[in-house]
Amino acid sequence: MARIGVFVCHCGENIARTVDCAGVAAASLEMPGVATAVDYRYLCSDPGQALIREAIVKVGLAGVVIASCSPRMHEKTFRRAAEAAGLNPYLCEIANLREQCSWVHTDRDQATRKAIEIVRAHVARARYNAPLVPVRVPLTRRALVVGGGIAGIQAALDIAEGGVEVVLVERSPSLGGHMAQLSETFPTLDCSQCILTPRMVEAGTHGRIRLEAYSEVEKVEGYVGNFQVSIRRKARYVDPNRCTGCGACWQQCPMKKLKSVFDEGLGKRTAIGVPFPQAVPNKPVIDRENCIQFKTKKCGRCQKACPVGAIDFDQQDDLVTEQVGAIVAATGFQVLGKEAFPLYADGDHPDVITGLQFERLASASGPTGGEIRRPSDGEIPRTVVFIQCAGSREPALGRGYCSKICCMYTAKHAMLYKHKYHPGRPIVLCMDVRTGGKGYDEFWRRATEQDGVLYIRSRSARVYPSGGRLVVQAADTLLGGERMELEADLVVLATAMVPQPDARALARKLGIGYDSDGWYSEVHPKLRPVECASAGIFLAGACQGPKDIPETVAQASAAASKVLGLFAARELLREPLVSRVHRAPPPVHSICGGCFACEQVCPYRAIEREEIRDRKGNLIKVVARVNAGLCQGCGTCVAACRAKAIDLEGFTDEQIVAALGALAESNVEPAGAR
Amino acid sequence: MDHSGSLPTGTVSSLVARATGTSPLACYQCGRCAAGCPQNVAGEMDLSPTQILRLLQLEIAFATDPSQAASLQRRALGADTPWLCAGCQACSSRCPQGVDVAGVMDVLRQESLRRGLYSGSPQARSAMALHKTFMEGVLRRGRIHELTLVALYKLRTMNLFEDALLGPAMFLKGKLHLLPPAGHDTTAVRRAVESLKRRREEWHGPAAGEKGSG
Repeated sequence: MARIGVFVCHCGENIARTVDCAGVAAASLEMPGVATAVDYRYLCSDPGQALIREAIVKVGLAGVVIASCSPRMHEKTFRRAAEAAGLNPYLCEIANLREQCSWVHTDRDQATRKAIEIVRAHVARARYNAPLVPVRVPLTRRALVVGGGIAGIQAALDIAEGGVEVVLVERSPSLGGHMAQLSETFPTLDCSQCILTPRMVEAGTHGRIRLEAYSEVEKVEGYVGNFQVSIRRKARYVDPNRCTGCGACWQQCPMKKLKSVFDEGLGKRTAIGVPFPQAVPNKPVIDRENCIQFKTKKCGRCQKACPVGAIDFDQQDDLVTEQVGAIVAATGFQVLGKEAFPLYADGDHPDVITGLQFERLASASGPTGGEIRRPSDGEIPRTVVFIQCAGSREPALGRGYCSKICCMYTAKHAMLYKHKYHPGRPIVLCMDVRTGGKGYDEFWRRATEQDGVLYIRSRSARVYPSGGRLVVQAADTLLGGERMELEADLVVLATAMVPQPDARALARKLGIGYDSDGWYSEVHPKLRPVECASAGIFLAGACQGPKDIPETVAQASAAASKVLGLFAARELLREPLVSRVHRAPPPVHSICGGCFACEQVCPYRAIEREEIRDRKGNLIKVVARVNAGLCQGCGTCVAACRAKAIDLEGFTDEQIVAALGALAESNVEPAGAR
Repeated sequence: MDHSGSLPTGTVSSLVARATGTSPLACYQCGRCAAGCPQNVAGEMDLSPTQILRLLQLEIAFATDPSQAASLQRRALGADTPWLCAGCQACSSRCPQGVDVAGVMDVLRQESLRRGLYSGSPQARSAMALHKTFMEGVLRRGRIHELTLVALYKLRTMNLFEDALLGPAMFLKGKLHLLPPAGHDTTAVRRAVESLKRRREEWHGPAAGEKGSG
C-alpha cells in the first residue's frame, strides 16, 4: 500500500472559516493508503513547508496531498518542498479547498463534507502518481520581434544589447509606428520625433538586429526555443541594396496628390517614396495601386531618374524562414476613424478630425508646418472643441474600456493649440479626467489654470455644421444638465484605441489568446503581465491593451528581459505533463493503429509520425509520436484515440478512474495495469 | 451590464429596471441625454434627464432608509421632466451605456399617478390633458383624427390660441385632414387597452391610489 501524507492548510481564515480543517485531516487518516494527516495554519510558510519535508523523511512518505489553494497558486512551492525532502516533485498532489470549496460555500458542515470528498479523490489519484522527469528541449538563441513601433524597437534593442541576435519585422516601409506621427509628448512636451528617431537609427544599424521592414509574418511553426517563422518580404519594386535613398525618384513621380497615410490623410505624397523624411530604412517603396507604370505601363519616370538603377518593376514577394527561440509581439494599435461617429457631423466633415490628425497638424513636420489650421479652408480656428471618450467607455457601441491615453493627450492638444494661437479658445468635453502617472495631474492642472482650457463635464450629443462653423450640443452636468450649443471652428475627437484590424489573424498564427475586444491576453494580469499562455511568446506595448509611451517602453524592456532570461539556460526544461503514445517491445511495438485522428485534433501540432522498422530497415508500421516540446498537455488526443494508445502523464486514465471511483465511494479499481 | 436582478424591491428603480431592462446604476452621468434633449429647456424642465437618473441611483443607495427613499421618490416622481418628455427617443438611442431614458420616463409617469405624486404643475397638467384627449380619441374611433384631437385638447386646457398659427402651415403640408378617417371597428382596440390594463395590474398587483387614467 502507498504511504501517502495529507496536509490540510487553513490558509489563515480563508479555508478554516468554512471548513473544519482538523476534521478533514482526521477523516483523511481513514482513507486507504494514508499514512499521516495533519492540518496547519499556513502550509506555504517556511515552518509549514518544513512540516511537510519532515513528514516525508520521518514517515517515509511515497506521495503527498496538499489540501490548500488552487494549484495555480502554490503547486510549485509544494513540489519544491517535496523535492527538497527527496521525493519526486510530481508525486505531490494539490487538492483545491479554497477556490473550489471554502470561498464558494457558506455552510460549514456541507463545505467540510465536500472538502473531505475532494481530498478523497486526490488521495485516490495520488496512489497512481508516477515519478516524472522534466522534458529537456534544445534552444535556438535568437529572437523575433513583430512590430517596429516604439515597443518593438525598445524590445529589439534591449535583447540585442543582451547579446542575442534579433529579427525585427515591421510591415510598413519604415520603423517608428504611431510614435513617429506624434507632435510632442505629455507630460514634458518634448518632441516625439526628436526622441524616437535616434532609437530608430540605432535599431536599424545595430549589429545584432536584422531589420525586415515592409515584411509580414506569414506562418509560425514549432514551439518555445524552436520556432520556425516564415516571413514575407513584400516587393518594394526598389532594390534596397542599390538604393541610396537620394530621393531623385520621388521628385520625378507625377502622382503628387495622393493622400499621405503618415499625415492621416491631411498631407500629400507621391506613388514612390518614403513615408517620412527620417524613415528607417531610408529606401522608398512603390505604391502599386496608384503607380501609373503599373496601371498603364506608360511612365517609368522614377526608373529613368534613378542614378543607380535600383527601380525594378518586376520584383516579386520573397519568402524567408527564420529559426528563433522566442517571439515578442509588439504589433500596436489603431485609432478609430471619425467615420465611426455618425452623431458627429455624419462622420465625414473635414473640420471634425481625430486626435491623431491633430497630432499631424501640431507637428512641425506635418502638412501645415505645425500651425493649427482647419482642413476645410486652412483658416486658424478661433474655437476648438475637443471631445473625449469618442468611442471609448461606450458599451452600447461594443467598447466598454477606457482608452487610457486620451485624457492626457487632449490636455496636451488643448495646450498646444493655446500655445500656438494665443487668442484661441480651447474647450474640452470630458466625462472624467484620468491622470494617473508621474507628473500627469500637474500637467492637466497646468492646462486649466495657466492656459485657460475650459473643461465641461459633458458628453456631446451631436455635432452639426451651421453657417460655416460647427455646433456642438453639450450639457453642463455640473450645472444640473444645462444645455449648451457650443460654436466651434474645429472639433477634435479623442477616438478610441482599437486593436489592429488583423490582430486576431496574427494571434491565430502565433497561437496566443486575445480578449473579447481583441487585445492580446497575458497569462496573469498582475504577476505575469508580459507572458502569453503559449510558452516562448511575450507581449510588449498596446497590442495587449491601451498604453502610453512610458508604459509601453517599460513593458518592452520587461519582455526583452524575459527573452534574455529564457535564453540564459543551456536547454529548456518543460513540465513533463505531456501525452505519451503506447510503446512495447516487439512483436507488439505499439497498440497505436496509425489512424492519426490525434494529428487532426492536436491544437499544438505536436503529433509526429514515427516509422517502426526492423533490423534490416523494413518498415513495420507507422505510429504516432508526441513531440514533448510542443505538447501542452491538453489531453485532446487522449480523447480522440480510438485504440486508447495515448495517455496523459499526470492525468492517466487509471488516475482519473481512481479519483472518480473514490468520489462514487465504490471500490472499483482501475482496469489493467500500467 | 445587467443589474436588474439585484435592485431593492419596492423601489421605483426596480420597476424601471424591470420595464426597460437596464438599471439606473448603468448611468455614469455623462449628460449626453440632457445635451440632446429637445425638451430640456431652462424654465420648463425642472430636472434634466441626467438628474432624474441620479435621483434614482440615490434611491437605490438609500432604499433601506424609508424617509430618505420616500423623499427621493417624491422628487423624481413629482418632477415635470417625465411629463415634458416627448418620447422622441434621442436619449435612448444615443446613451453610451444603453439606458432607455425615454422608457424610464414612461415608468415615472405611470408611477407618479399610481403613487399620487403627480405634481399638477401647469406643464404636467397640459401634458396630462393631451394624454387623456389622445386616449379618448383612440377608444372612440380606433384611430386619431388630428383636428378633433387639437380641438378637444384646446377645449380641455382652455388655451385656445396657443400655436394657432401652426395650423395653416400643417394643413398645407397635408398634416391636418378636415374629415376623420373612415370608421373602424373599435372592439379590437378596446380589447387591447383592456388587456394592457390587466397586465399592468398583474405587474403591480392591484392598483392603489390611482388618480388618472392614461
